Amino acid sequence: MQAPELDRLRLALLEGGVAPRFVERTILELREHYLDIAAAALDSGRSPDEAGELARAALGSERSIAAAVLAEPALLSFDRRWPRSARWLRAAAFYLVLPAVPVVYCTQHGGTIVRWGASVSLGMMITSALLFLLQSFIA
Amino acid sequence: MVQTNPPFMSGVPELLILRLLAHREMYGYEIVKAVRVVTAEAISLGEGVIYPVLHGLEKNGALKAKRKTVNGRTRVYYSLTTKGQRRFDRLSGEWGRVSSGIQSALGVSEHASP
Repeated sequence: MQAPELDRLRLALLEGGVAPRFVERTILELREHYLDIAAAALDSGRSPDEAGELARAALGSERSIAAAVLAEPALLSFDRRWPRSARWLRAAAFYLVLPAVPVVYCTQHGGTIVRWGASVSLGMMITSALLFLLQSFIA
Repeated sequence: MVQTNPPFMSGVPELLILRLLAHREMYGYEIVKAVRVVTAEAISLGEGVIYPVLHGLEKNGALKAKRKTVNGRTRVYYSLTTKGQRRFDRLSGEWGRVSSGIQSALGVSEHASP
Protein backbone atom coordinates (compact mmCIF):
# COMPACT_ATOMS: atom_id res chain seq x y z
CA MET A 1 0.00 0.00 0.00
CA GLN A 2 1.22 3.48 -0.92
CA ALA A 3 1.11 6.34 1.58
CA PRO A 4 -0.17 9.69 0.25
CA GLU A 5 2.52 12.22 -0.74
CA LEU A 6 0.95 15.04 1.34
CA ASP A 7 2.36 17.68 -1.00
CA ARG A 8 -0.39 20.20 -0.18
CA LEU A 9 0.40 19.86 3.52
CA ARG A 10 4.14 20.28 2.88
CA LEU A 11 3.47 23.45 0.87
CA ALA A 12 1.08 24.86 3.48
CA LEU A 13 3.61 24.30 6.26
CA LEU A 14 6.51 25.83 4.34
CA GLU A 15 4.40 28.82 3.35
CA GLY A 16 3.30 29.17 6.97
CA GLY A 17 6.94 29.50 8.05
CA VAL A 18 7.47 26.11 9.72
CA ALA A 19 11.15 25.16 9.92
CA PRO A 20 11.94 22.83 6.97
CA ARG A 21 13.34 20.07 9.22
CA PHE A 22 10.03 19.88 11.09
CA VAL A 23 8.10 19.91 7.82
CA GLU A 24 9.99 16.90 6.52
CA ARG A 25 9.74 15.10 9.87
CA THR A 26 5.98 15.72 10.03
CA ILE A 27 5.45 14.39 6.50
CA LEU A 28 7.61 11.33 7.14
CA GLU A 29 5.86 10.47 10.41
CA LEU A 30 2.38 11.03 8.99
CA ARG A 31 3.12 8.76 6.04
CA GLU A 32 4.44 6.04 8.33
CA HIS A 33 1.43 6.50 10.61
CA TYR A 34 -0.89 6.13 7.61
CA LEU A 35 0.80 2.85 6.67
CA ASP A 36 0.48 1.58 10.27
CA ILE A 37 -3.25 2.32 10.42
CA ALA A 38 -3.82 0.81 6.98
CA ALA A 39 -1.81 -2.33 7.89
CA ALA A 40 -3.85 -2.79 11.08
CA ALA A 41 -7.08 -2.39 9.08
CA LEU A 42 -5.93 -4.92 6.47
CA ASP A 43 -5.05 -7.36 9.28
CA SER A 44 -8.56 -6.98 10.66
CA GLY A 45 -9.99 -8.11 7.32
CA ARG A 46 -10.79 -4.80 5.59
CA SER A 47 -10.25 -4.34 1.88
CA PRO A 48 -7.32 -2.15 0.71
CA ASP A 49 -9.74 0.65 -0.28
CA GLU A 50 -11.45 0.59 3.12
CA ALA A 51 -8.08 0.47 4.88
CA GLY A 52 -6.91 3.54 2.94
CA GLU A 53 -10.10 5.45 3.71
CA LEU A 54 -9.89 4.52 7.39
CA ALA A 55 -6.27 5.68 7.57
CA ARG A 56 -7.08 9.00 5.90
CA ALA A 57 -10.03 9.60 8.23
CA ALA A 58 -8.01 8.71 11.34
CA LEU A 59 -5.19 11.08 10.43
CA GLY A 60 -7.57 13.94 9.71
CA SER A 61 -7.60 16.44 6.88
CA GLU A 62 -4.38 18.05 5.68
CA ARG A 63 -5.92 21.41 6.58
CA SER A 64 -6.54 20.45 10.22
CA ILE A 65 -3.03 19.00 10.54
CA ALA A 66 -1.54 22.16 9.03
CA ALA A 67 -3.55 24.30 11.48
CA ALA A 68 -2.28 22.23 14.43
CA VAL A 69 1.35 22.52 13.30
CA LEU A 70 1.07 26.26 12.65
CA ALA A 71 -0.46 26.74 16.12
CA GLU A 72 2.79 25.45 17.68
CA PRO A 73 5.08 28.52 17.73
CA ALA A 74 8.17 26.50 18.67
CA LEU A 75 8.06 24.84 15.25
CA LEU A 76 8.24 28.05 13.25
CA SER A 77 11.55 28.98 11.65
CA PHE A 78 13.77 31.60 13.29
CA ASP A 79 12.96 34.07 10.48
CA ARG A 80 9.23 33.74 11.14
CA ARG A 81 9.43 33.91 14.93
CA TRP A 82 11.91 36.79 15.17
CA PRO A 83 11.75 38.63 11.82
CA ARG A 84 13.42 41.81 13.10
CA SER A 85 16.29 39.96 14.81
CA ALA A 86 16.77 37.81 11.72
CA ARG A 87 17.07 40.96 9.57
CA TRP A 88 19.63 42.49 11.92
CA LEU A 89 21.64 39.28 12.17
CA ARG A 90 21.71 38.92 8.39
CA ALA A 91 22.95 42.49 7.98
CA ALA A 92 25.60 42.03 10.71
CA ALA A 93 26.77 38.75 9.17
CA PHE A 94 27.00 40.43 5.77
CA TYR A 95 29.23 43.24 7.10
CA LEU A 96 31.39 40.76 9.04
CA VAL A 97 31.86 38.46 6.09
CA LEU A 98 32.42 41.16 3.46
CA PRO A 99 36.07 42.03 4.41
CA ALA A 100 36.97 38.35 4.52
CA VAL A 101 35.76 37.69 0.97
CA PRO A 102 38.98 38.84 -0.83
CA VAL A 103 41.14 36.89 1.63
CA VAL A 104 39.10 33.74 1.17
CA TYR A 105 39.13 34.22 -2.60
CA CYS A 106 42.92 34.65 -2.64
CA THR A 107 43.53 31.54 -0.53
CA GLN A 108 41.21 29.48 -2.70
CA HIS A 109 42.55 30.74 -6.02
CA GLY A 110 46.22 31.24 -5.06
CA GLY A 111 47.62 29.54 -8.19
CA THR A 112 45.49 31.61 -10.56
CA ILE A 113 46.44 34.86 -8.82
CA VAL A 114 50.19 34.00 -8.96
CA ARG A 115 49.92 33.14 -12.68
CA TRP A 116 47.94 36.32 -13.35
CA GLY A 117 50.51 38.39 -11.39
CA ALA A 118 53.43 36.76 -13.23
CA SER A 119 51.88 37.32 -16.69
CA VAL A 120 51.02 40.96 -15.93
CA SER A 121 54.57 41.56 -14.63
CA LEU A 122 56.05 39.92 -17.72
CA GLY A 123 53.84 42.00 -19.96
CA MET A 124 54.88 45.17 -18.15
CA MET A 125 58.56 44.26 -18.45
CA ILE A 126 58.26 43.58 -22.20
CA THR A 127 56.32 46.82 -22.76
CA SER A 128 58.90 48.80 -20.73
CA ALA A 129 61.75 47.23 -22.67
CA LEU A 130 60.09 48.09 -26.01
CA LEU A 131 59.42 51.66 -24.92
CA PHE A 132 63.00 51.98 -23.71
CA LEU A 133 64.32 50.68 -27.07
CA LEU A 134 62.04 53.03 -29.00
CA GLN A 135 63.18 55.97 -26.90
CA SER A 136 66.84 55.00 -27.48
CA PHE A 137 66.30 54.83 -31.27
CA ILE A 138 64.51 58.17 -31.36
CA ALA A 139 67.22 59.79 -29.25
CA MET B 1 -15.64 10.52 11.45
CA VAL B 2 -12.99 10.14 14.11
CA GLN B 3 -14.09 11.23 17.57
CA THR B 4 -11.61 13.46 19.39
CA ASN B 5 -11.90 15.32 22.68
CA PRO B 6 -13.50 18.64 23.62
CA PRO B 7 -11.56 21.89 24.16
CA PHE B 8 -11.34 21.57 27.96
CA MET B 9 -8.91 18.72 27.38
CA SER B 10 -6.22 21.22 26.45
CA GLY B 11 -2.92 20.16 28.01
CA VAL B 12 -4.05 16.57 28.57
CA PRO B 13 -2.35 15.13 25.46
CA GLU B 14 0.95 16.55 26.65
CA LEU B 15 0.51 15.07 30.12
CA LEU B 16 -0.37 11.64 28.74
CA ILE B 17 2.49 11.65 26.26
CA LEU B 18 5.00 12.53 28.98
CA ARG B 19 3.55 9.83 31.24
CA LEU B 20 3.79 7.13 28.57
CA LEU B 21 7.29 8.07 27.49
CA ALA B 22 8.50 7.97 31.08
CA HIS B 23 8.30 4.17 30.83
CA ARG B 24 9.86 3.52 27.43
CA GLU B 25 10.60 5.12 24.08
CA MET B 26 7.78 5.01 21.54
CA TYR B 27 6.89 6.30 18.08
CA GLY B 28 3.77 8.31 17.18
CA TYR B 29 1.45 5.46 16.22
CA GLU B 30 2.40 3.49 19.35
CA ILE B 31 1.70 6.55 21.53
CA VAL B 32 -1.79 7.04 20.04
CA LYS B 33 -2.62 3.36 20.59
CA ALA B 34 -1.20 3.39 24.13
CA VAL B 35 -3.23 6.48 25.06
CA ARG B 36 -6.40 4.68 24.01
CA VAL B 37 -5.46 1.63 26.07
CA VAL B 38 -4.36 3.39 29.28
CA THR B 39 -7.40 5.68 29.29
CA ALA B 40 -9.78 2.81 28.45
CA GLU B 41 -10.72 4.65 25.21
CA ALA B 42 -11.95 7.64 27.22
CA ILE B 43 -9.37 9.84 25.51
CA SER B 44 -8.56 9.61 21.85
CA LEU B 45 -5.87 11.88 20.46
CA GLY B 46 -6.31 13.26 16.95
CA GLU B 47 -3.87 10.97 15.19
CA GLY B 48 -2.50 13.53 12.74
CA VAL B 49 -2.19 16.32 15.29
CA ILE B 50 -0.10 14.37 17.78
CA TYR B 51 3.06 15.18 15.82
CA PRO B 52 3.05 18.96 16.40
CA VAL B 53 2.69 18.22 20.13
CA LEU B 54 5.63 15.79 20.01
CA HIS B 55 7.77 18.16 17.97
CA GLY B 56 6.92 21.08 20.25
CA LEU B 57 7.94 19.06 23.30
CA GLU B 58 11.13 18.03 21.53
CA LYS B 59 11.94 21.63 20.61
CA ASN B 60 11.42 22.65 24.25
CA GLY B 61 13.84 19.94 25.37
CA ALA B 62 11.27 17.73 27.12
CA LEU B 63 11.67 14.91 24.59
CA LYS B 64 14.51 13.47 22.58
CA ALA B 65 13.89 12.01 19.11
CA LYS B 66 15.89 9.25 17.46
CA ARG B 67 15.39 7.79 13.98
CA LYS B 68 15.55 4.03 13.58
CA THR B 69 14.97 1.78 10.60
CA VAL B 70 12.86 -1.21 11.59
CA ASN B 71 11.87 -3.78 8.93
CA GLY B 72 12.50 -1.24 6.17
CA ARG B 73 10.33 1.40 7.88
CA THR B 74 11.70 4.64 9.28
CA ARG B 75 10.54 5.15 12.84
CA VAL B 76 11.09 8.25 14.92
CA TYR B 77 11.27 7.14 18.54
CA TYR B 78 10.69 9.64 21.33
CA SER B 79 12.03 9.37 24.86
CA LEU B 80 11.75 11.57 27.93
CA THR B 81 14.63 13.82 28.98
CA THR B 82 15.39 14.98 32.52
CA LYS B 83 13.72 18.28 31.67
CA GLY B 84 10.70 16.34 30.41
CA GLN B 85 10.54 14.38 33.65
CA ARG B 86 10.52 17.64 35.65
CA ARG B 87 7.81 19.01 33.35
CA PHE B 88 5.76 15.86 33.85
CA ASP B 89 6.10 16.09 37.66
CA ARG B 90 4.92 19.72 37.57
CA LEU B 91 2.01 19.08 35.17
CA SER B 92 0.83 16.00 37.03
CA GLY B 93 0.84 17.96 40.31
CA GLU B 94 -1.21 20.72 38.68
CA TRP B 95 -3.59 18.19 37.15
CA GLY B 96 -4.04 16.50 40.55
CA ARG B 97 -4.98 19.82 42.14
CA VAL B 98 -7.42 20.74 39.34
CA SER B 99 -8.97 17.30 39.31
CA SER B 100 -9.50 17.14 43.09
CA GLY B 101 -10.91 20.68 42.98
CA ILE B 102 -13.43 19.68 40.31
CA GLN B 103 -14.27 16.47 42.18
CA SER B 104 -14.97 18.38 45.37
CA ALA B 105 -17.01 21.00 43.47
CA LEU B 106 -19.10 18.27 41.85
CA GLY B 107 -19.55 16.63 45.27
CA VAL B 108 -20.68 19.92 46.81
CA SER B 109 -23.14 20.61 44.01
CA GLU B 110 -24.55 17.08 44.31
CA HIS B 111 -25.11 17.58 48.07
CA ALA B 112 -26.38 21.12 47.57
CA SER B 113 -28.90 20.18 44.87
CA PRO B 114 -32.47 19.64 46.11
